[in-house]
Amino acid sequence: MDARPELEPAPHIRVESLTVAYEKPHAAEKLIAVSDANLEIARGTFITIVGPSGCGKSSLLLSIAGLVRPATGCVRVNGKPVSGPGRDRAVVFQDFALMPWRSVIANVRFGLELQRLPGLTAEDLTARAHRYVELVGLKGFEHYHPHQLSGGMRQRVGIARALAVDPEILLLDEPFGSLDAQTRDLMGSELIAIWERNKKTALFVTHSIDEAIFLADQVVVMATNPGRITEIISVDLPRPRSVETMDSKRFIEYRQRIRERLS
Amino acid sequence: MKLTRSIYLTAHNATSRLCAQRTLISTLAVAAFLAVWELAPRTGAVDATFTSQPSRVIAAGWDIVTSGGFLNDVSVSLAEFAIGFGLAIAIGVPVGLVLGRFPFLRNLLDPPIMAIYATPHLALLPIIVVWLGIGMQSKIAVAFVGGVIPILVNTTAGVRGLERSWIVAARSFCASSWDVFVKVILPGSLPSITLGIRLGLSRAVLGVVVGEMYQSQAGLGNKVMRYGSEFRTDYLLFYVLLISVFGLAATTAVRVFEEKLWTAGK
Repeated sequence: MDARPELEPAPHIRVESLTVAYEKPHAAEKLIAVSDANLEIARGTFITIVGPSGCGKSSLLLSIAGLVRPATGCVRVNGKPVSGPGRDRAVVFQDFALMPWRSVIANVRFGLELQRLPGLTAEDLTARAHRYVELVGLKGFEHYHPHQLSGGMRQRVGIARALAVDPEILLLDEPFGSLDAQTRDLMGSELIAIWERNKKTALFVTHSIDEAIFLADQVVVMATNPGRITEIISVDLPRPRSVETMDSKRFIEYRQRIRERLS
Repeated sequence: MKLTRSIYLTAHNATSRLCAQRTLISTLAVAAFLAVWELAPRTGAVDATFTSQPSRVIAAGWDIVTSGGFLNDVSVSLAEFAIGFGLAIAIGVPVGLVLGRFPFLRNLLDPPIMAIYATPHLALLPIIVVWLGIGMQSKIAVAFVGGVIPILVNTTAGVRGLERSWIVAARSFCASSWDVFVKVILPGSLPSITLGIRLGLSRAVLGVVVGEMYQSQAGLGNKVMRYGSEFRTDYLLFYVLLISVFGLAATTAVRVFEEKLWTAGK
């Protein structure tokens, strides 16, 4: 499916004139969260979506996840329209969404249990969960419960849970939004290190301009009222990137350009 | 990371020391109470007819247990409780889960449920006896009515209190409605369900005992009433003690069950 001999490779994800609307409480008209968004994402790229609160960046991400139904337009993954969540996509949530009654290892196993991958025994699932716990640097904390972990560690569990199902597409909804600045930078670097190993297609929603540039191959800039895509900027900075990258002339130029688009 | 773990360990040691201290203090308090109770009538300060004494209660207990009829009373009360409370769990938990998930049904049934919750269930005793007679059925019904409402209300509250994000996360991994129910709703509302069961338990025990005291042919409450009217304080207190021990044992059983389930969820 993914290795078709075409001259122009088909985009992994295609968002076609997508509009997302929500019912407003106590009002007849609907709230337009995303208005007529168009986007093509190539396989293996890291895309960040940046914009102010209420610009519909999370709604865009959740429609790709199949968790939000679009009012009009559609999302295609590998050419097929998305009608709901699928095994090819996994989501990392802003509020972690970990089950407090499950230990770290059991939380990582959660998605694997639900996806019922054929031919995997209970032991296989646990073994796989252990691998991903190790990958995100939580070895030794397998039997801790979420309330015993710091915010950064909790999100590591969230990331491990999403990676464990081996999705083609990783969708991250402001995953580091509730973390302090230092933890945030560290988690960003580690996420990129993990991503560089297997180059899954990744979509990352954030409201931090620096984070958006640092992580991305392409930055999707969104504006509010109504929520819409205003610009897509390719970030041409060499990888692997480091803290010094953020002081480079190019980085500062990108930062200025995005800030102008946002204001 | 090593440091974090050693902090947890230190905290754990401190907790177990506090625990031992608490057990010691409680034991001393009980012993002191029993000593005062035993000695006060001997000094003539109080009349043993009204207060009895631990030694007399033990003697009465021996008399009760060795003479016939005791096992019948115990099994009647236990059966009434087990059937009434068992039905309360079997109906309260599923109905509570359904009401928690479906706002329409909840709005429909909320007024009558709240009305019954606000009514002391013992006030229904006379009419239940009119309907079901003075046999075991009326006690089973009172135990059921007492137990089912807290179980139902707390289960509903537990389901409604679930984080929406847990359900969204499950759905993002392609969970079916059944998966969401088994892997999120049930374990997530378990603390509220067991809280409801603990609250319902004492109301069910109360229902059985007071039901038997009101109108009955056998059971522990029946004997409490009888010895009370005969001024046989020591016999009466033995039965009261038996009821307390049962209530305590049942509550502990629910706690243990709760912990078992909790660890099974890991």
